[in-house]
Amino acid sequence: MEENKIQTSKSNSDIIDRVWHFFSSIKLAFILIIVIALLSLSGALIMQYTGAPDSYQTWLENVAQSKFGLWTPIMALLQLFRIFHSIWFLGAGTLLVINILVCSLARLKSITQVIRGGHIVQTESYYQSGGSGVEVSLKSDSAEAVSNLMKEKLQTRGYRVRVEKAGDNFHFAADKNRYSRLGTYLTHFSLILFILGFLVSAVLGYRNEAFTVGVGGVENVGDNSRLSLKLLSFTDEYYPDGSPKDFRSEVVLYDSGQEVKQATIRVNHPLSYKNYKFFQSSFGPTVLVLIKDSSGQTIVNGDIQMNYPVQLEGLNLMSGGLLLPQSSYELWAYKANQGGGGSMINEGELVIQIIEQSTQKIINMGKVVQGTPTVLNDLEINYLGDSQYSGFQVTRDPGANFIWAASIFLLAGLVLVFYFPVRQLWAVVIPAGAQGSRVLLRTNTSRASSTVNDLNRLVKEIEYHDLKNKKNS
Amino acid sequence: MSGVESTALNLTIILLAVSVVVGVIALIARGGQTDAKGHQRSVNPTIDAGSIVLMALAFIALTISVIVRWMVAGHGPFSNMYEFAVGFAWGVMLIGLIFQWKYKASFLKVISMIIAIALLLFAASQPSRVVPLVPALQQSYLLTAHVAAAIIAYGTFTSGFAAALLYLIQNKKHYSWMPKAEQLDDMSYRAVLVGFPFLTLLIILGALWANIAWGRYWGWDPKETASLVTWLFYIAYMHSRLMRGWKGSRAAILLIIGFAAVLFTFFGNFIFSGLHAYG
Repeated sequence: MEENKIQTSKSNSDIIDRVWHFFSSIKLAFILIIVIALLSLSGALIMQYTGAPDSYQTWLENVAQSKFGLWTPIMALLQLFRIFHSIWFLGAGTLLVINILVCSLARLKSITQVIRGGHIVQTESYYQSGGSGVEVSLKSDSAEAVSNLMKEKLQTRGYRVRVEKAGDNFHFAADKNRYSRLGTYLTHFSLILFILGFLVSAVLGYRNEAFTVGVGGVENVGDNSRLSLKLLSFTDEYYPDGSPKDFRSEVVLYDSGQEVKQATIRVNHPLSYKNYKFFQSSFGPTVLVLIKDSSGQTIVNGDIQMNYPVQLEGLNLMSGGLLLPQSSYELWAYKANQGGGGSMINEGELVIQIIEQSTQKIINMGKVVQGTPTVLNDLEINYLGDSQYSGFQVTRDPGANFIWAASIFLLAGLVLVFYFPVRQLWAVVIPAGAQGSRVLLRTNTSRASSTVNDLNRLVKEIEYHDLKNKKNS
Repeated sequence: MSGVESTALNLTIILLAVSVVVGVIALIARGGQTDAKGHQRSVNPTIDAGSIVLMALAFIALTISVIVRWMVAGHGPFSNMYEFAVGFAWGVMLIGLIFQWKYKASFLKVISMIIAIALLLFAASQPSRVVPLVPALQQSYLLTAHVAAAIIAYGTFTSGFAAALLYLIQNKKHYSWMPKAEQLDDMSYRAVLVGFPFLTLLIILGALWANIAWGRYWGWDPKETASLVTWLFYIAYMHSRLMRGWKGSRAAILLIIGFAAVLFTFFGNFIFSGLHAYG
């Protein structure tokens, strides 16, 4: 294994050299990895804010305050509720990327050397260093015979063998899986690609987590896409124990008004079209209303999503609201939630409130019975019936492909480095005595490894051959 | 839980417990025996063989339990904590047996089995009735591959942890009947080498699936984040091996922290809610 020492010139006073040296250190990589791990750990343990930036302050006051009390401002200052967007996390990540790039460049030379093969002729002291050195004395095999045998054995085992004769000595450099050294590049390059993919997703991607369409309705997707989605029907199914079994929406997709796709969107089965994906994400009840102004003009003909459960004077209700067009009023509808209306609000009845938007003051209130137009505040309100809406997550994520490419590189790199490690062997065969020889061998690692096993096997083979030769003679 | 399944599960726990006892006896009863090469024996080979056979039988019994449940439920043991824990224990036993076969490290096997028993007892304490899969889990290929990768990764990391633990003991005490500290260091490193690509695969398959089910490949869900923390600790461990003076004790401690992160990720379902909160 390579050490973290990267050769630098003697002029360490040079600032560029110092910076280079700092960033090419594996110790820095190690520290940064630990820092990022600890930051992530706190991100898993401390609840994180995931909403829109503009409601962060409200969240701090309402949610965080109740859990962390006086600590909240300090924690907010340290960006602990938004760890993964914090200066600490992004800073450590940036340093790590620079670290990886500098290390990759700094190691380029030694890696090309491994792939080319490096020196064949090594000194005797080289065989004593490194911890894996072995010396074998052979009585009856000549240096040339041993050298030929070794070459043959190593080659059948898949090694690239390079032999150089220096004087009477035969020098060997053998290696296997040398291209696995590039695996380190694959893994490190993939990490940068992951980060790039993340950035592309965040900056160039589009995500709408609450794109809702009522049954029978058509909504524009937005994001300048000219796409619109029609919901034909929505079905929710449950197992006998009450746990959810299936949620599915039958939809029609239009591009510039032209029908392009008819599909069923279910959990795990999104609808894909061009760069867009539609995921099943929510559903809920709606009430259908038709509202006319005093001149008989229709101002609302659609649905109100009844998403908000409310407890009011012992009643259990569902509510939902909409903004009345061209006015400063909101309209809120209340409906019994599974018979929770008691004797006050029956099935087929709505309580309607007209609220002034700026003051949130109730201007008018009344009951509307299904099928009976009722006038409230000069508005004629018709309660047409109940229905459902289906909510989708719409995404356009150009970064995802970077992520999948990075994943493949990462796995390929890991498989190369871990499962097909580079094996390097050196040997020198020195003639000794009338017909004997002396063989020195070593590997690139002292660890018990397949390379050391290969070396030991090779030693056994040449010793065995020598013994056989001796018996025959 | 069907009759066969629970009987097989109980049988597994009993066989494992007996195997641990027999394994420990094999260690104690090694006497002053030496092997053919004159090295002091680490175990009494006959008694230890009995322990290995018992462990293999326990593994077969657990496999039967898993298969029966698979047939009853119509999906792999991947949908709640009971099933995860059984799967985890199965992986620990499988890798434990492989390590035993490769390295003949009897003590390591005993630790693996104790961890497997703990996981199975935990599983037995969890609600075990077969629950139908909620919509997000209805993705059989990805579900199977995702959890299978988890079982292999966590199984190998358990063996790595056991070797690191023994290393720390052996580094101080130098018991002649235990594997040498250096060998233990090497064993733990190899366990990580085998397991780490599977941990990576596990996370990538998770991202792939999240992209289909939740519309995003990464969302900092607590379980996702915890798995990233685990991944980072093992990455740190591997880089530490390239630094001077970091083999040995420090590396072993890092591995123990890494395994703590594995357990934290695994049991995280109880600590944090989030999207992985299945039963």
